[in-house]
Amino acid sequence: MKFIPSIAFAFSGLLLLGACSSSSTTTEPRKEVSYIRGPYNAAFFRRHGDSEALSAGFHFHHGREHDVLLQTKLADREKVDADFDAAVFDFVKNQKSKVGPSMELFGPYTARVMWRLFRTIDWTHQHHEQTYDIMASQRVAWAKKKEWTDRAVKLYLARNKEVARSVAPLDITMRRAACMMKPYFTYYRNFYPKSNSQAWVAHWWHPAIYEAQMLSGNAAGGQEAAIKSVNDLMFSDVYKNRPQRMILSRELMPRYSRMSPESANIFDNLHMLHGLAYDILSYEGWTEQQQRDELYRVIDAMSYQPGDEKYVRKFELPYPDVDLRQYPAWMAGPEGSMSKIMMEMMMEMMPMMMPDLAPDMKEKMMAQFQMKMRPGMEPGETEGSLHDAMMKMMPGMKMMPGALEPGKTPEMMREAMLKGWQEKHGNMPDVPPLDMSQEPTLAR
Amino acid sequence: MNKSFIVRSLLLATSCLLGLAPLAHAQSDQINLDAGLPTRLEDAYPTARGNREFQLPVRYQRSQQGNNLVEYTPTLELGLFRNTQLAVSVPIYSGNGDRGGSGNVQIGGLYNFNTEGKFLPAVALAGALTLPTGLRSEGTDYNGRFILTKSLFGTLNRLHLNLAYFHNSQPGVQAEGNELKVERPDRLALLVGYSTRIAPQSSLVVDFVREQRRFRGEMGSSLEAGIRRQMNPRLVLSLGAAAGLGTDADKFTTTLGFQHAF
Repeated sequence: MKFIPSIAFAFSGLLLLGACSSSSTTTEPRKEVSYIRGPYNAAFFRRHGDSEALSAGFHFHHGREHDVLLQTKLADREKVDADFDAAVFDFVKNQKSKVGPSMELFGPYTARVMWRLFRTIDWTHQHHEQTYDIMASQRVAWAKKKEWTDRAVKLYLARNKEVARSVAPLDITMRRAACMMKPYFTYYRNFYPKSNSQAWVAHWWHPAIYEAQMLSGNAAGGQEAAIKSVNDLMFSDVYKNRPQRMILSRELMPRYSRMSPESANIFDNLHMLHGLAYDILSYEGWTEQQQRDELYRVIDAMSYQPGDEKYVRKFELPYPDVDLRQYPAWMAGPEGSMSKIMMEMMMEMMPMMMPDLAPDMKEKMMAQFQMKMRPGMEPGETEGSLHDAMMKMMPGMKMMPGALEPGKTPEMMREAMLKGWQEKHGNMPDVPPLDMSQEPTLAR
Repeated sequence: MNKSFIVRSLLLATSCLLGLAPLAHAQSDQINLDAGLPTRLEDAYPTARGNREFQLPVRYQRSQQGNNLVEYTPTLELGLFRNTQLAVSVPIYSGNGDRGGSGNVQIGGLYNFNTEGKFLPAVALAGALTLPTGLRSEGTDYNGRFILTKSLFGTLNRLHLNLAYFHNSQPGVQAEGNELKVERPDRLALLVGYSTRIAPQSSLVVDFVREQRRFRGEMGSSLEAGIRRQMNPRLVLSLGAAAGLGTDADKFTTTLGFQHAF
């Protein structure tokens, strides 16, 4: 038995030697938090098992993509993009998992180097699961759906404060993050357009499911039929003509957004975080540690902050009567609420960066800007980030302190954009609440 | 214990598991290894804060002497604090093997110091007290475990090391034939193992155990292997087997495990 301590010490020594061999060694506390208990738990899994499997496929995309991007050279992007797109479609279509995975299950490398990102995503996916369950559960009466959803939001914010997403609309949180002129912004959509569009299909599907639940009520048969229509539509139309932008909750789930704007905003903030994380991980100009610093800055900027409640209902509903069982042209196109936010932010920053911009140059800049917002590369589009494109056209453009450094916030830009939002939208009326006293039904 | 007893026991355990499964809803995790589910290897991660989980490993052991023992260990595991889990369990034994200790109450805990980094392993310390509430038990025993977990090459291929120490506060003497066997007051065990995800909902765990056995002069080695499968968002089932190497270890064991968060 004498050899036991020797082996143990040798094994431990090897592990710790490996640990000390790098100056970039870091570690974080685990800090996992369990799901919130309620009578609705796992209702979506039990009632809509096929849809849970589709969601698992999308979460396979979300988790695996981190490792793919961190471990891929940009030069190999074309093949990697095509292969990953095919792998995700196979996972989704063939329902490879019946249970939604945690991020670590398919992104183990990223879990080692940026654990807080996965804590953030997993905790917010738990919130997704909670709210799907509440809507799916027949143990929660229709008139009580909002009450239970509000409880889920409250506990989501309270139990994991460090990583909870903001309840403020994306208009506010994107301005807080102030990452538009960072050297990575638009990398993912431009260099990995197929994989990016998988995320945008997923971000069409998630709100579509909520809205299908809002349209169909609790009754047996109705919700099942509405959700099946959404799933069928995804394979028949949406995958064939994938959305060219990230669709926001306000566009695709207006009824749910009226019932729980807090939850709707949390979803948008998480979905945008996915995109920004992929942008940062695609960017090769920084070390892993710098990528982590920037990612953690973005996570903090888009997190819940006291006072966010006053902005909760500050958004418009462009399609208040949308029917999720159809896929009209406006859903697929690049123009929508997201591009509107981006355009506003760009216009708010331009006077600081380019104070004496000639009208013809401004026109060229905006044309370039719009191309950068769309996935893939178009003829005449400058390769790289939005920042790269702007700098190529105007090498003398003024950059704010912190605009390029990882982990630093360009404060002047941030303040200018928040001021811009306040001037344009500060007095907008709140989006109206939804009357939940009358239960809709599609049951036959 | 005859074959029909073993078959009945396993059928009873299986039907309990299957009967409970449709009601299951909670958070278990196929890659988070707990000792006994289905091998004795434990990883360095605790259950999530706020989690409540019912566990039931059912372990059949056949000794080199041909004795049979079935061990049911109903366990309540709680994530009471961040990075900390507590567990209360009461192992119950049946069969013609040594059932001493059946009905003892065990109170255990695990504290995790960190999630693993790119180079640093995850580190945890675990320990348990065994209260002499069961059959032929005297004195409060305790054990401790030092645990390391490290993934390889940025994948989910994980190596684990457990170094366990057991203290028997009142070692006894047992007659076996013409021989008097004396219990050790202190003993050590080393477990080295490997786990990986083999399918989206399934993981494999294999390990090697080298241990000082309960009686002086006896050493045991075992090879263990098992599968853990995520059945639904709240339920993990596991199945494992172990083969003893040499003359002192159990001849073989099989384990059926059930974890249900609620």
